[in-house]
Amino acid sequence: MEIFTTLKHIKMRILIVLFIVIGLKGFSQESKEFNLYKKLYPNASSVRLNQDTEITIKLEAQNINITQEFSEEDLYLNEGANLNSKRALHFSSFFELENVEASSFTYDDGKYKEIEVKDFKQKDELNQSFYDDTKSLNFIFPNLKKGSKSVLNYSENVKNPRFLSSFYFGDFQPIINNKITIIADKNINLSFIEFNTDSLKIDFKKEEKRNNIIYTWEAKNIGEYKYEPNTPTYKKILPHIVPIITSYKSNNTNINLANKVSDLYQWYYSLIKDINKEDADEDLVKLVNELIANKPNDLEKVKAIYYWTQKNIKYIAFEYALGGFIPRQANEVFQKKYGDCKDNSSILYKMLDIAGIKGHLTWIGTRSLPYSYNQVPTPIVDNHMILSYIDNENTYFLDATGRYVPIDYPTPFIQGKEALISNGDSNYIIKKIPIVPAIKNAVIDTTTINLVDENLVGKTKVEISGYNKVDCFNYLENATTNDKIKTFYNETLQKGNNKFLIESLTETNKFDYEKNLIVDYDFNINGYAKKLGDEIYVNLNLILDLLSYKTKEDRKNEIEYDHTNYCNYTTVLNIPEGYTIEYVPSNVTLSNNYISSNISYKVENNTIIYNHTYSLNFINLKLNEQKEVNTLIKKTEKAYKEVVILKKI
Amino acid sequence: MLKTKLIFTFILVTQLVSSQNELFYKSYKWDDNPSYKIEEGNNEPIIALKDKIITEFYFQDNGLVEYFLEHKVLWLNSDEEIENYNKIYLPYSSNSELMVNKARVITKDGSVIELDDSKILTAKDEETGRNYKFFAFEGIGKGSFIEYYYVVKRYPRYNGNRITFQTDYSKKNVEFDLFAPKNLIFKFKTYNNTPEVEQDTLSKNKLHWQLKLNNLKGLDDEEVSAYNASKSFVIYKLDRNTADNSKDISSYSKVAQNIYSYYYQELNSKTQNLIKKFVKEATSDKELNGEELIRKIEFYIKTNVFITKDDSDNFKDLDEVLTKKVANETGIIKLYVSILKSLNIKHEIVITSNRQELKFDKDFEANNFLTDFLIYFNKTKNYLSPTVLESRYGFPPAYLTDNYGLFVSEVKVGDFVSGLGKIKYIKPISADKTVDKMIIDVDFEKDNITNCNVKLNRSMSGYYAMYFQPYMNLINQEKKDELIEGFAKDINENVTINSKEMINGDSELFGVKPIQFILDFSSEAFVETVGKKYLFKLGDLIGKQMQLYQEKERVLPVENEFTRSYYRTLNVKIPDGYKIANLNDINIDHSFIENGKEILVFKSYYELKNNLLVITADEHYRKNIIETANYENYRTVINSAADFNKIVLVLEPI
Repeated sequence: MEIFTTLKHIKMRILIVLFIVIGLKGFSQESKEFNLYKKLYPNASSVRLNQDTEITIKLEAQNINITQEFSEEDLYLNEGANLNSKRALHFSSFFELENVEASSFTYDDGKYKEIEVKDFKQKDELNQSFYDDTKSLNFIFPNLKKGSKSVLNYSENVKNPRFLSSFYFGDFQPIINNKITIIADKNINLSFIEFNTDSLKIDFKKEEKRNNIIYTWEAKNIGEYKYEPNTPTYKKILPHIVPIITSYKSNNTNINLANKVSDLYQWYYSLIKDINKEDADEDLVKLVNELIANKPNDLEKVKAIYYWTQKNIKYIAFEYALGGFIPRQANEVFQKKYGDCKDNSSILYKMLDIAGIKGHLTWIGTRSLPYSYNQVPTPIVDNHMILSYIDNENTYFLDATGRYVPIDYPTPFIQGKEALISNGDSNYIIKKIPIVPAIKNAVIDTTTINLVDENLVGKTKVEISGYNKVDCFNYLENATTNDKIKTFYNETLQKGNNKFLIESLTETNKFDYEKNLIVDYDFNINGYAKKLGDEIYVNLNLILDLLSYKTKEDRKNEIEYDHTNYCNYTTVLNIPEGYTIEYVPSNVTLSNNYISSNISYKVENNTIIYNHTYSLNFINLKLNEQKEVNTLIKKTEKAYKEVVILKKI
Repeated sequence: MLKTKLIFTFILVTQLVSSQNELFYKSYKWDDNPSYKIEEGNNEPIIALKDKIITEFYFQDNGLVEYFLEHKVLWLNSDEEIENYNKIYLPYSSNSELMVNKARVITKDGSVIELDDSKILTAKDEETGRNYKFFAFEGIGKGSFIEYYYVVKRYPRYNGNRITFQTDYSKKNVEFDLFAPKNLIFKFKTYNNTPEVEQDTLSKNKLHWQLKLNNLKGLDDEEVSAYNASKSFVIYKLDRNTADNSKDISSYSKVAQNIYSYYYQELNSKTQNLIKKFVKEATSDKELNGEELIRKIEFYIKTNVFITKDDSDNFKDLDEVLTKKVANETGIIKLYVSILKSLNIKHEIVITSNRQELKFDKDFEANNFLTDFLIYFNKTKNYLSPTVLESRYGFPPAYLTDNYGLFVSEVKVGDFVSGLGKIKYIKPISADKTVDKMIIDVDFEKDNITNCNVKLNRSMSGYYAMYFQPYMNLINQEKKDELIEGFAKDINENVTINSKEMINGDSELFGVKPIQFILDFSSEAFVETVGKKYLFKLGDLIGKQMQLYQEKERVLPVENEFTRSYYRTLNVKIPDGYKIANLNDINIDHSFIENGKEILVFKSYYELKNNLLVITADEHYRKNIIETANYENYRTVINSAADFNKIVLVLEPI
């Protein structure tokens, strides 16, 4: 039976596609606009005819008041129009939703007829964190079909001047007219940081009118951007501008809001300065003393505390208003045994403090945010908090939201990102989190195989480290029966083909934070070799998982991986009695800046020793880099087809 | 799913018992000094020490209400389970009220941390009318016990309610109690080896039924099984009211009448005109009949009417639905049946259950079996799902078939028209209607045998075609190309596609003609060189197959979604000067015969005509449900296809 997932995959693909595609047949009654854009954008399911954003920034009685007005007009180009019926606008205590108006327009008898949306339903959003103040306003555009239009107008108040929204010029649908206007009091200074706008023609104007400065941006006919899997954040692809209120003049004094990183830090520091001032819970002190007893040095003490926190403080996030920025007291986190990233950092900080060790609260943007602190010194630059521990020249980045993360590995999703490390009321350090080198994420497999007729019978010791080990542990937590554990290894460690079956296995260092996971197992792959006349054919390339790194030739975007990878597979084939070696394939050595791959065969004492080693030294690959990686993998793939021939003596 | 709309306004007028007892929950308490124990060395990740449900039906404010209590104690012994159970969401809606809500953690060393009311949070959803009370337990460590109970006062669910006892972990002290006023007689039925519910004859002022299980083993979720339907559970319903002598209160005859009168209301002329206009638009004003007409109406509705979860009245209103083309589940059913009735297409409303969740019990009438709607066409004996967009006429959601259902038909007695309910079996769609067919021609390049030219002709019908054929109208050329090429690229990434074609790609041809993909490609991926010989990976050409090689003890019967057949023909042109050394490897023959019928089949064989090797590999699954005792037969057939996938032919010089 064909694997269901293949078809499910196709089905899913189509469902995704539904939002991005077009239809074929036409009705006679269509507006001019429809015919125009259908021709212009044959691959789009809808176009945004107009996107108008107006941001008004007023300075009133020393307060900055911000209103954002949005207007969107969409035209639907295929029979999937209906799938766009349901909409939701999100708001929170930082963004207060004001007037909302929505209408559908259907084209009948040569003109558009309006149907106004009357029902708006509010909903507390539960999917982002366990408890926050995000709400949504939900409504349905009626009667949408091919050729229909929808118009949506709404406005919102931005309650904190640090949270001005970014504005985007492109989207996953084409935009015909896109206009952004900012009307700001002239005592307010703004800066605008552009991202991915290089290839776009944007008309920018700045004019002064009365007490205001008016900035406008206009862009026209921006084609749709393509959605692809494993693409880094859309912020790295879509053209957009981040507006920043850097400073303002009030009563003739200049007040810096987000001019430099120091302004952001000052605000951040004001939010954390009062935490953990109370005495530590006695039990927490007792616990820390137990954890650090007999530990020879500070690093060992930090480890003990860090691992305890990973194991015992579960992740639950409460993010109500500014609570999303202020860590909770360590005592409270200790009693509740749960918290979000800030709470985890807070308890780590306090526990280190009890142990007489200094920790540093640290803000960081995960890999889903492409900005740097100096570029964008506002809260949109980061979304996460960790604790840094500085041990002479080594800095350790402790992120207790995960499990099984060793102290010398950051969590994978902050690799390569900048950390803003607190160091007192006005000092901070910006440090880049290293990308963990491939050799630290290793899978080292040593296998001995014998041929029993056409069956392959073998013994393996595999050692798994780094993020590969963490991934295994996370899966294994769910595998609570022997059957499930076996299934997991049968799939993860598969050799040859899916007839690969593990007979018996032993696990060493399972769930250990620092030692590598070692799995020793016996296995067989029935019918893997081919026996014909005097000859036996066996392909020693038992693991081909490198192939999954080959990207599609027509890919348009950068690709992102969780981590680097190093694999080393050695297979010793014992030549069956009465046979001799007829053919051994030649060795292959390949490498470039991103990847290396070797295959070697060595004949020794009636055995053939096969080795395949590859190293993937990247977490992101640009398009041209993908091409180089693909070329190298293709060469390796050719070598994968090479077969060893044994012959009867 | 069936919601409030099916809760019929059966009013229990008479309140016979003047002196009702105090509600049970008022005196219900948890243990003030809990001392839960798990024996040393137990490695289970989670165990329930208490799982108690009490429900009480009670006359209040001139009506019947229900007080529902759930009380649980769980021992959490792994990080995973702590994370699964440290957050609790309690169900309640705009017409229910949470009366009591208590939660605490008892740590390994016995200290008790009770959660105060201020920590209980609320979330509202105006759209679905569903609200939540939720909280996070504080202070859980590995080996802690969590305990909570709540009482919700709600609109009474007396026409049929299911309480599921079993889950994937073991439970101790599973208890179920039902209290009712003295005049209300409930009926119970337990399933999947659950002992029967017994009446407590000592109870004086109210009726009391109970069930207690000291130990209930966990049931593991197995692949391709009706897991939820296989758990231990009870269903109860109100059967009689001795105060007014009414009987069969929860019977389907009443449901059928209600369904009929609700969905087939007399339509005024305005609505009739709107329907006419709607049909005209749907059919582009063409004169259509029979199945063609049904398909057209369905296609139009499924493309143009948006289905919302919002239960508001305006989305049930037929006029609104016809003009604004937005409907909820009730609205969409009304729309279908009103149109069908106005077009004089004979049909019946069918209400059934998803057999994976709950098998429709033809011997116990209770409303909780009535969860999913279908429309049955008497003439063609086909079904249509009004609510599931992915399903099309003739191919109802497969888990609703191979199951019983309540069929509501129209009866006329003189001038009086009403609905008549009958329980009938919804036959599964037979395997010959869902066919995946491949014809593969292979030719090796003359001077470079490692390079094969392959012509793949693949056609699909029924449930397989339903994955994409109905939506072809929504897919642009770029994505279509990707889809077609996918049939070759799923066999191997490294193929060069020379030509491709799709036949019957019109979405309206679903159910009429199979969708067909014809691809011509070449690749070196299927041949390896060994000295002067070549290894040809014949099996690769049929694509990766599902496998069940790992031996596992099977507990539950196999429950497939739909029956189906695969037909594969591979025509391999053997290159001049070569022969195939291991033709016998092609022969695989496994089947499972039940009552003289071949239920499960995998057969592959060959025929050699000069240098043309013709291979047939056919596979059939003609029954959805395979008993556990026959699991090995199922496994063998599944694995036969996976074995075929690994066939390598050796080409050697003559």
